[in-house]
Amino acid sequence: MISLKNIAVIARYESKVLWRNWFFRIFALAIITILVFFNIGVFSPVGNNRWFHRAISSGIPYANMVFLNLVQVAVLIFLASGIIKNNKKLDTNEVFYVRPLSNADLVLGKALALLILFFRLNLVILVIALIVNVTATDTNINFQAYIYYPLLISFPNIIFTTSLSFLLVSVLRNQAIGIIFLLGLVGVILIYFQGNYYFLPDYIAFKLPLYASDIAGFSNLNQLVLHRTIYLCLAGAFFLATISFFPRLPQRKVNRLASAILTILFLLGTTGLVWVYLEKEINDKALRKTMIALNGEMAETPNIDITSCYLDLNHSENTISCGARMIVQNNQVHQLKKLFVTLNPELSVNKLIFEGSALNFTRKSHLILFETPVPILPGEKKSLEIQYEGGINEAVCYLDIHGDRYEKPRATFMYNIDKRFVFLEPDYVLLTKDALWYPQAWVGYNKTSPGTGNHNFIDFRLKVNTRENLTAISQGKLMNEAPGVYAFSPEVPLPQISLIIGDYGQKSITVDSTDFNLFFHEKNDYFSEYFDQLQDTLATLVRDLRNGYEQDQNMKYNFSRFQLVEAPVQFYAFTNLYENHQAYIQPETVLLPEKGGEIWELDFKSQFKAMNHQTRINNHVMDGKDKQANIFKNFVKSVLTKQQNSWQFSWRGGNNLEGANYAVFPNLYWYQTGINSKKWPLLNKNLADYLNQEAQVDDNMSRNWRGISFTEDCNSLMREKNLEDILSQEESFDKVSGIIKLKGDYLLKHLELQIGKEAFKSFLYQMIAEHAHQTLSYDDFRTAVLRRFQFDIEPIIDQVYSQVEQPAFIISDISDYQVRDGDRNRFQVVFRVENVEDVDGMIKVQFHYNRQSAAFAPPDINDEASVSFIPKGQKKAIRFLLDERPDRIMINTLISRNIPSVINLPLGQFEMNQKQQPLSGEIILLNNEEAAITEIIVDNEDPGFTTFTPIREPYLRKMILKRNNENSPQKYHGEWRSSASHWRLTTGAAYYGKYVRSAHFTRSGKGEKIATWQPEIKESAYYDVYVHLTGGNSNNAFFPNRRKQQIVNYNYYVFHDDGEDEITIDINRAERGWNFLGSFYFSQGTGKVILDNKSENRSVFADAVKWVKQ
Amino acid sequence: MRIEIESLSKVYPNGHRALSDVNLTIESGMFGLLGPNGAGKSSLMRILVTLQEYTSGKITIDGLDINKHRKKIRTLLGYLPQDFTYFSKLKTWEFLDYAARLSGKKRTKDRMNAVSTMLEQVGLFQVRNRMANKLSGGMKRRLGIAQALIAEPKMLVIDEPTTGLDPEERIRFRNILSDLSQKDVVIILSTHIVGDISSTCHNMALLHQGTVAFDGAPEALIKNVKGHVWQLQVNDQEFSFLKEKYPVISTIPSQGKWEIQVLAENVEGYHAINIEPNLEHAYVYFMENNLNVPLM
Repeated sequence: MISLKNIAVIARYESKVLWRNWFFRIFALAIITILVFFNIGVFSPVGNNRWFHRAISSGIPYANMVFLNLVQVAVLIFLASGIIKNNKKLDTNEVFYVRPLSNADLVLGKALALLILFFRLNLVILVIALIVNVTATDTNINFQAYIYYPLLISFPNIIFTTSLSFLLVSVLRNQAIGIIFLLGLVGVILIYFQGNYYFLPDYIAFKLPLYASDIAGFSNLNQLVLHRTIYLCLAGAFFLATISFFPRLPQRKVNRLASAILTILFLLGTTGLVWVYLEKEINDKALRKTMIALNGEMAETPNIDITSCYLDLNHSENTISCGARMIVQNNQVHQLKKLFVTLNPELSVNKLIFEGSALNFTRKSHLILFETPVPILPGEKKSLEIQYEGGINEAVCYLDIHGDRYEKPRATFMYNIDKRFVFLEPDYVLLTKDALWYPQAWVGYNKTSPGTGNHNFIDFRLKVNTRENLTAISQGKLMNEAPGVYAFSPEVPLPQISLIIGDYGQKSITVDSTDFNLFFHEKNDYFSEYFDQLQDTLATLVRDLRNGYEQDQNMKYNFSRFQLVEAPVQFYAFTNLYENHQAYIQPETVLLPEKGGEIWELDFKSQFKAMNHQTRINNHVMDGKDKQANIFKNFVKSVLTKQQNSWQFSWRGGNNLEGANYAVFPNLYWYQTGINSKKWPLLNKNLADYLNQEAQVDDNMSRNWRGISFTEDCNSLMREKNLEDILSQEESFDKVSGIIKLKGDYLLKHLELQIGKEAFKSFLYQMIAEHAHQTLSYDDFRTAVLRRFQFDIEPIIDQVYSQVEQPAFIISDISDYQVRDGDRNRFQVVFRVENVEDVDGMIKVQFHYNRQSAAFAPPDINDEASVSFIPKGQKKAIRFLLDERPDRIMINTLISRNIPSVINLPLGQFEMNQKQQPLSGEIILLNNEEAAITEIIVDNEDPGFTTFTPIREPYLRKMILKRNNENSPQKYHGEWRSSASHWRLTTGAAYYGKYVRSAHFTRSGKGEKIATWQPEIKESAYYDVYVHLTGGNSNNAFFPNRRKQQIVNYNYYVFHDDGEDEITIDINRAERGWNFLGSFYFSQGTGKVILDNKSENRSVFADAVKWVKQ
Repeated sequence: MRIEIESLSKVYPNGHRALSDVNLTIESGMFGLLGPNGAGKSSLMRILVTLQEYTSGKITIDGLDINKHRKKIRTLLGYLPQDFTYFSKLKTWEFLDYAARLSGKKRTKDRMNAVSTMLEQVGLFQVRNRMANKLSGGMKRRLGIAQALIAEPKMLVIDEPTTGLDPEERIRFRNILSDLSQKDVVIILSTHIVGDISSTCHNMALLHQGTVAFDGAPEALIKNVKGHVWQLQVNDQEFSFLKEKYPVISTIPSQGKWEIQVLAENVEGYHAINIEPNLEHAYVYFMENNLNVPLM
């Protein structure tokens, strides 16, 4: 039926014909040119792009294949459909059709022709990539990657696209329709499906996580190969179907039947493979569901605590076998008989021995349930031994995370990187507590009480037996008893233990009896060359950094070692809502990404380049040693201790809570102590955040994009739902963790205010020191506070966590002047604040000083913030007396209805005021200073304000706008993103408003769009009319002076009794606040002010108008 | 070689009946298939070269059923379709080599020799490296003949073989076929050009509206018309008159008059001479008298 010789002949000549096709030649030339430039620009020393792009050896071939693959699929569709179509004009076909060939020969020959053609193209691209790889001297060359990437990405794609094109054109008998359908399909896969449905529709392998680590290789290679095999098998079916449909009489009738039967077999085979592929995913999903349900059932079940756990683990291939000898204790008030521990469901338990005798147990998913012969009395300790073996199912990790966050790979640059939480492979192992690789006596995430994470300190010992050439890394003092045999004995009890086994090299230094270890994959030492001059100063450097950090944090690093371990690129950790750290931080250990990953501070080449550049600009002289020391310090302070902000810039502002965090802080708090509370599961995390003196990133951009800030978004959600609902319902992770942070911040500020900041903090530090390596129960903590300060924290905790209502602050009359204080001038800032809602609230005030570089930089962490308590309905004047002249004031209303929640305004000229006394502090104002009735203000959100936009928009435009904006529930809009074709509402500190400071804005034009303020004049009289302006174009908060020189006119039309006056104001020269338009006579019930959209600026803003009776 | 066609019918899906109860036996040697457009020649040929299925009847080639032994039969075939102008981007020799490889017998050396010989035989050796689609119409035709012959077929089916060939090429082509017909090869020529058949074929069939109107030697057809072909010399007036009366086969202007040939039982006057008929006369006569198809 098939003649290989015929296929070869057809392939040979058809590929010759294809190669002579200009369409293909132009495409090939174009893609080769583009990829040459791409490779040079991104990977070669010439381009010197980001380190991460070329750091891992699979990167260059992977990126090239993905790039090529995406483009070649389109070309392939055209060529394949062209080669198979039965061209009536091509009568030369028929002379071949009468040759003794089978239809299979013809179809497969043509397919092979395409394969040969594209194989050559792929080869050329790979050679280019390889050449660039060789020139990128700091990148390892992984020759295997040059074989398996084409095999995994390109090859199945070429085969499948060809087969699908063949089949479609043969069935449809129309090339054009076939092409349109195929291109449409590709579009749908790329845009709509992406990585959905477990990547199954993604035959182009565009989103398939194929990035391979140099440490652990591919993640899930089985699934990847299966995925590609599915498409090869389906391609087989399509080819066979094409043979059946081929418009030529078959050699023998039975041939057609045979191909039909084989088509069905291949289709069945594909279905089978799909089933195998999905089975794991579906089973995993089911397992997670079961586990959450079981956790929910067990969440409130009293259980023993494990106080010590000795693990004896053997690692071989993809399995471990382990014996866990534990001491368990009943810390409950009642006796216990029914007990449970958890263990990864893929680990089968061989034996459970309680107090020396084997017990029966039942296994439910990850639960091991058993009953003791005699009850364990409160306080009693018993021994428990479990022997288990098997693999690890990764699906047990992060039960609280679901949907795209959990399933979608990390996409960065052109790489799709799988999210892996566990590795258990013949030559690489990474196990954290999330993998449930050792018995734990508490259940994880569930819906009944999501926050029941136990925080318990255990006396661990770990003995590891693995392959001789592998290094094991864990916590505690290490005894390397024999090659491949390691014994770890942590000096202190730990809440968790981790195990990493791999082909690691090590660099160590001991400073002040603490071992600092760096473990890196043998081939991945890209860093040593940059620090060759630090040998003799490293110890001092490390000591200084450590001492500085401990001083800044006011806490001690109490472990005997600190280790940085390079983890495979796929290793990923989510932020747990109830913990303030990710699995990248283990006790004594930080798991850094492979070759530094995307951490800019670990891109040493760029760091040095930037530093050389900087020193040149600043005319500094710095020797190599200083530079090396600086780069090292920079890494430690930005990444490990977070004493300074990383250089990386987050467009989303300060709420990039999903990002990887490698700060060691958990080792100062979480892994040393903690407050355990079932009632207030967030308290421990909030306390940790409070104690963590990290440099804060400010949230700047959100308002410009979305109209309100992230915090305001969170505040708004907190007014709709109580915290419990927010936590248990499926809100966005960012918002939930933002809210937890806001609540925590508010709670601790509140406690600070009640107890006194210094006293409270030093009390906390003392508590931590006293409870090193153990947890403190909430009740003990509460009692201790009560005893010390005669203050019960519970009502405040309860109030903060449960309160839904929010205060709203009207902040007004911000004034600044210089005053004489004795023999020196000082700077006085005064403002009024009134809490107009029915709940108490707090505001936090900070000043920004000119000494910092950028106006939009967050306040210096060293400049203390001052917190004021504003009870419901109260009005206060708050005064600051400062030694240094600030340029901005930031009034943070914390959790409130205020928009903007942080009023960030430039301060004025600080003119000398001889009359004022130098005063600071708060005074309560009596509420008799009602605004004069003679004043009528129409703000842009008042009923008297209207806008008008003549709608003359093209239909399509309107549709798109409608989709983008109008149907969204969004009230406020960012100036940067929203289409301002009609008037939109935005917010900002400089606008007028009571506690929502907003303005309308629209795109400038010819004056066809107008905003109208219509007052309710109750008394006919002469009125002074003012408009509220932001002054000096400060709409652009970052560059307030940029356009000062330019005249920007707004045209106001005042309608009054004597007619209509047009008044033009240059807003760049206008005052911030009220600007006088003129005095006019208005009769009762008349008058209005109109602003049109004619202006030199891009947008026109309409805020508020004021009428003041003369 | 012997092709037997029994009660062959072909009805297209649109209801058009292309062939109806065709019975023919074709032996080795040249066989001419004559008939007006739409008579079913192309359908019959495409069926014979296994490009099309027939609706009913039976065809055997050397006793092999064409439907059951397509593979075997295809090894015997050489085919040149009527339109042979559009090529994919292959050089002349490559095209021929491609065809030679697919007919699948020779080793590389033999094949290359055969290709060269064939190119020389059809006078394309000089242009062997030119792209096939850049050849002139006649050259393309010759290349078509070459590819049909390269497989050394036992059954050669040629649709309108000499269209586009100049007289010299036509003669060369006839000679190639004549050489071939000496061997045990069936050569089926389908044509409008009666001359092609008369000069080469020993047997022929005349198809009309899907049926075999005549089957036999060309001489038999010519015999029918013997004594009915007249040559006359006429002036314009007479020419107009005679055109109405008799089928005029040929018209040659001569010294202000016309020398014409007409078909008639008897022609009185005009110095009419009864001349020896040829196949063309026989064809027209047959169509007029037997099938009632008027010439004009």
